[in-house]
Amino acid sequence: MTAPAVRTRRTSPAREALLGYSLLVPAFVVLGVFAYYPLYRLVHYALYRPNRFATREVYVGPSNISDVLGGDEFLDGLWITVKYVLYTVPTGLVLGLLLALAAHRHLRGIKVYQAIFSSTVATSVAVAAIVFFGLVNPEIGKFGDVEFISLARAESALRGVALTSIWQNIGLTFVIVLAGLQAVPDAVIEAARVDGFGPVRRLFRVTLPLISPTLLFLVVILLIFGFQAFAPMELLTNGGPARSTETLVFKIFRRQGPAQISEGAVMALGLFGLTFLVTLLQLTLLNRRVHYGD
Amino acid sequence: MAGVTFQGVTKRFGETTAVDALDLEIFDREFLVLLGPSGCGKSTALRMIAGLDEPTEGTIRIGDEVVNGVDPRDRDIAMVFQSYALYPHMTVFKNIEAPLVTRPMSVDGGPPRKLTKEERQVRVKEAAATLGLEPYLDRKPGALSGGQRQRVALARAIVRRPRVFLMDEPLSNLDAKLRTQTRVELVDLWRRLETTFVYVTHDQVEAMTMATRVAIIAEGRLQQVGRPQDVYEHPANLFVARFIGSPPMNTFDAVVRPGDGGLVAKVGGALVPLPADAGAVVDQEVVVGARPEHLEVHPDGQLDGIVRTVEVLGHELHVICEVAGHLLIVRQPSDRPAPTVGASVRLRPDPAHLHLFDAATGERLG
Amino acid sequence: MATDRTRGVPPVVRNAGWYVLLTALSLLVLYPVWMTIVRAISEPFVYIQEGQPFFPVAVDWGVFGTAWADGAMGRSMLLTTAVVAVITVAQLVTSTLAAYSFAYLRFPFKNVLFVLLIATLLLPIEVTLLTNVRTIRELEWLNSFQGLTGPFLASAFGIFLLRQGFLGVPSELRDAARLDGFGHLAFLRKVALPVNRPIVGSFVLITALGAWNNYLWPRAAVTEERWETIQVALRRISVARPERFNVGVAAAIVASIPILVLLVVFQKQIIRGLTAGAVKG
Repeated sequence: MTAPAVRTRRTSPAREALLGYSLLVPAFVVLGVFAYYPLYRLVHYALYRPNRFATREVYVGPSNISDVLGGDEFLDGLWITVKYVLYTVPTGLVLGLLLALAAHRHLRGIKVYQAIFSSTVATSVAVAAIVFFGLVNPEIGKFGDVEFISLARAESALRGVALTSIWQNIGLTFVIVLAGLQAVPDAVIEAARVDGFGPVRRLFRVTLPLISPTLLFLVVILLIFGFQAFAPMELLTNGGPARSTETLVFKIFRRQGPAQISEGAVMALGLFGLTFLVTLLQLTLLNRRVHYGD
Repeated sequence: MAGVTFQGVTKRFGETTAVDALDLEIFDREFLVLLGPSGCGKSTALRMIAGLDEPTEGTIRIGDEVVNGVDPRDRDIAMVFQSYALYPHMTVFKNIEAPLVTRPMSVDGGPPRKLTKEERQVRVKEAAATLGLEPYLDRKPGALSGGQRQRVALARAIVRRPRVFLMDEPLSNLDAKLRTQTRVELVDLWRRLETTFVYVTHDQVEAMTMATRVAIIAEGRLQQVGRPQDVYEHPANLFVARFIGSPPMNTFDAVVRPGDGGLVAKVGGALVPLPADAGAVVDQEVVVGARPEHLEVHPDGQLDGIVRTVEVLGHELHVICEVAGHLLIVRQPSDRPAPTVGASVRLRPDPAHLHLFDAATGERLG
Repeated sequence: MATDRTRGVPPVVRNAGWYVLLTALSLLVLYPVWMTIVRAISEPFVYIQEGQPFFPVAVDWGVFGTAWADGAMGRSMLLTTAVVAVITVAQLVTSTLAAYSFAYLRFPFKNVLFVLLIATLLLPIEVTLLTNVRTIRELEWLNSFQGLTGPFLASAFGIFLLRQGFLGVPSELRDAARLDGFGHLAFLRKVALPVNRPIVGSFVLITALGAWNNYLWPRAAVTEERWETIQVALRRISVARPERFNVGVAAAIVASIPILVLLVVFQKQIIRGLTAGAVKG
């Protein structure tokens, strides 16, 4: 036998709101302390420079911001970062595409190759840097004297460092492009074959356009990785020779002390602006693509 | 066991009114079907009984008590959803058990308390037995067929022995053959449980075959409520007249004119005599309705038409004619000779089964 | 009528061609790995003298033991494991709570708060590094567990991912749970999380992976050797001592083993997590 039990009033909107807010507290506290508060302080340090002993601060104002952003250090760092991105993103994209196209087929044992290609996702930046240290370091590296990527010369050092990221990114780019390829319906490719498209034509006219959202996503990821590059530089060249591998993040990292923090803060804000632009680009491009693609 | 009462219930979602001033009494132990086209508000009305949505205005009672503001779990109702809403990661047993786990229930007339594991097990097995689910208790929903899943949803509903059962289009996900079979089983279940069933559907065949009473809803408003036969024979307005019946009622525009011995409806050039209690006035614009079985091809017929096509169904024929710009369907037994396509025919409506509706309001006249 | 010729090359040859290509491409990935292993187990001076050959020379398998002991790898691996565990659990908890709130509860300014949350994706640790270090120092959290884990106890990405998952639970299932008497906690435990197990699993793995491989923050947040996580410790063990590079490389190999194991065991879930945003549908 059943009988209606306790009559409870439904949760009032006020109680639901209270619960809603309280569940957000843990995450927002952490993000507040470690994301928003630091941002605020970056702005503060951009405008107020501490003295060497961190006892006093001098107001340097917005002109400080324009000075630093227009200054050699920041512009060098920016240019080096951009170069790094130019080295790592197109190669990463092409390599990932190549490997995924090769491994996206029905062959016995293809899974083994797929596992090999994706294996570099297991490497950390530090491990990848150490691996390449052994290959390109001028003194003890096997290919240390290859001019094009020599870490000993300012002209080529960045390229040598870039090898680390390129190699490390292979796993991720492969996994992502492969997923994109696997999502293309077989029926579409077969229709293209029936229509008489040869393999090259199929690739450029059918496959690539269909996976373009995935490729775009990948480009954005690689861009962000490129902008954030730090460990390879620190481990392989320590920023040299002659600061030729000092990316923005590297320069920021070196400006933790009170005497440099003001300059570093402006640079960090510059990096923030860069990240913002890239994200904006991603959102607009991706949205347009999605509408055409669907 | 209890009935459900809607008093002046209105439900608005922002600018849209889903249910408009609904007054409906659902009697204890009846099988009431809320019937209407998609988006007419019938599901919203059902959800308000369950407490998943609250009325913007008006009161809902279950039994004698007002349930506005009462949490769904305390209304002593059970619901079967269109998609069955089974917990995909739980076994059939756990799915059926779910309503018993958190809710205190009164056992043997005592004060409500939480059931023990053994007590729950007994009830689950009972419900499973009623629906023939014993062999499947350890399976997960993913391993069951559509029909079996539906029975699990039913078992979950009956395990609590609620006083009202709510069903939201439970047959729409089944194939045609299974649907017919399940219709019979559901009515059977209703008889065995002797509990109020409130059933929502857009399929008028389901409504007519299962309901003790049908409530037709359109655009949030109750159009008519009554026994299936009454609704069929005396539709309260044009909407109901056209919605109920398959093939649908033939309707055509007409004007009321005086004629010898009473009023006639002027349809194009034809004059159709109206019964004395038609309730219409001269010059009134009306819509005349005649069901396909109440029209016949007859030389004395008042309506002139041309045969467009003849559909052979085996047990009967449907003769579809164009009359004064309307397409009318005539049901004719197979043993009568079918007219040829393209032929001119005369159609005679059965004067005892003519329906008259005001052209402006759609309301029934007479 | 054209001669009935199959397109060019017979399958056997074509397949062989693919195998050749695939193997060649594999070398791209495997060559550095192989050379690393060779380098680790070869005695460094001899190896360089011999012109850095493809095969190991003067093999010393004990190098792994040396790396472990000299680099105090045991301690840093343990520390890193603890840090990763705390970060993963914390992110799971904070993300689940916040995602539940955004997905199922109604309260004013919900959209504003959500935008504020997503906006933190624009503030990675690279941007906020300087002032976060400052905060850590002021709190005297330099060289501490709190310092290492703090910034990563919550993640906008995690909240976003879990919210998507929660929103994906069919609304009829939620209604059924409500009718069955499930309150918020019961619904979370019995329905929302179990139904989303794949997403939660992938999220946990990706978070753990990221936390283990993290370099920049532990490098900045730590100045004492005993507080170095494994990635930071590798720097000291390897590139700082190029003359004993074999030890450094051996250490790198050892440090990668846990992740490799994870990748092998949870390959499917990790890949699902990595490709989460990449493919529609």
